Amino acid sequence: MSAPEDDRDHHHPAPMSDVEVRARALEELLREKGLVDEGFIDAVVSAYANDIGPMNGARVVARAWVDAEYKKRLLADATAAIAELGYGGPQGEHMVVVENTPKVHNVVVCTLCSCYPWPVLGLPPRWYKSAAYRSRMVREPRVLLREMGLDLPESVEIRVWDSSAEIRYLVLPERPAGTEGLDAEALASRLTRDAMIGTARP
Amino acid sequence: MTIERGAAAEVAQMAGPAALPRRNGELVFEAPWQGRAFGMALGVVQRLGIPWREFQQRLIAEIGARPGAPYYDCWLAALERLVVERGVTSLAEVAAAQRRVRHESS
Amino acid sequence: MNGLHDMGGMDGFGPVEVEAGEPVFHHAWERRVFGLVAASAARRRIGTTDAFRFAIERMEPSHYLRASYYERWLTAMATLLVEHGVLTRDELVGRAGGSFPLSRPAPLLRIPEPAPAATPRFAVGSAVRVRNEHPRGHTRCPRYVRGRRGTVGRVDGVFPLPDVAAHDDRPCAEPAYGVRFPARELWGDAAAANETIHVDLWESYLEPA
Repeated sequence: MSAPEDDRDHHHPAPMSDVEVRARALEELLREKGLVDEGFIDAVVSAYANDIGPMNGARVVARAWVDAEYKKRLLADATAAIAELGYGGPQGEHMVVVENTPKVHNVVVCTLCSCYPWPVLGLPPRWYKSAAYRSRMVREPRVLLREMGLDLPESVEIRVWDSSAEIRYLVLPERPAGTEGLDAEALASRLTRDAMIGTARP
Repeated sequence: MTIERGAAAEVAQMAGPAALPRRNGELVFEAPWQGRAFGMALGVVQRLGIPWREFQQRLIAEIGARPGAPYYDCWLAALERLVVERGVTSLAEVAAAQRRVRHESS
Repeated sequence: MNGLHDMGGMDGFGPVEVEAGEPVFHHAWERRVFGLVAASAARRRIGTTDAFRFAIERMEPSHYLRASYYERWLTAMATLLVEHGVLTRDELVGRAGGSFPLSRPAPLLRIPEPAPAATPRFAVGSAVRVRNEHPRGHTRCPRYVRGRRGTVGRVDGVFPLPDVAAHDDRPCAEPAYGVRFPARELWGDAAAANETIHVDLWESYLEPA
């Protein structure tokens, strides 16, 4: 989930917008009246990031980026490694993670319907289920990826994974340059669902 | 205080103009206050023991009344409306709290 | 079946349209359908996921194309409930106050009799050819690989064969494989040399190349 640095640091006061004033005022009032507690608000925001959508997958990828042993386990037995982080369930019982390298780019599709790794990426977006995506990704991946905003040089090998059986795929993107100082949480927040399907780079 | 799971699903799955803004499937908060307003609404609804649609209806009304207004501005307005209409607080108290916050931040 | 759903390699669908910031469900009814199929007691009355997929595949082709993803789920669910005798078509039409299109009935089928096989016939590196078979019932062998030569990249364990599981409850687990095909094998010499398509296929779909 994207959010800028918390601007509550009073050493650098920024003029508060009207709406921000209203939000803080309301929160103070509600807390005074025992309607919310601070911990709850924080927990809600992070639970939403965790429970619904691709943050699960992002955590898996980020962990693989910072922990070389985890990455080995993930590539050897993705279902078990993903379960280490507590994720699993319907449409994720048999996972395979495919790794992008400077020479190889992976992208996932389901030509026959729209199979998708729910436990790590949530429910699929409409475009993934569309006739255009299902028909074209196995036939002209480089052209389609370029149309979708990912321009791969002709020299990069493309592997298209058609989820036609029980295996569900997650792409492990390359870690972006300049992220060496970031921890797993910060890395996870930079990852997009599209990067883990293979139609974008993080 | 923990989040009730069924409620979480109901909030996440709001459809139409009231749908939570997302990018790539993830919730988007453009500023911390938006995340806090989000959490506040959930907390209030849960604490008051009222159905989510009580907030949702006010949210839809705010969005409808202010076309083009940013989503979480409408969210906050809906929440203010809810807590006043439910008698949790009054318009006067809200205004006073806003004055205090402005004063403290200047 | 060689249905419209089997779309790999089809031309003419145009650009992929991406909706920025799209919600999980575009309409409230989609959420209800999701809940019905994913979690309700009714779901347990309609058979396997394979049967469910086949019910979607049996939709009248122009309905399939017009329908959104969750409308396909709804149609399949309703069709199977009628076929299993839980509801009648009249009840659906009556309650809907008008039409309620269902999928077409399954044709008379010859369900394959796979030999029970726990020991995989193929290994990583095996050269295989996809059998040129065109079952009228459910299958998960896409048309675009039938008759094509590939290499086994992965041996995946045993899973129920959809071609049986969609229609019958006899045991039918057999090994499945990740098979890779060079793009040129599938699409001709005009395809790129450095693109491969990986398709997951049950053992019954394969023979030694």
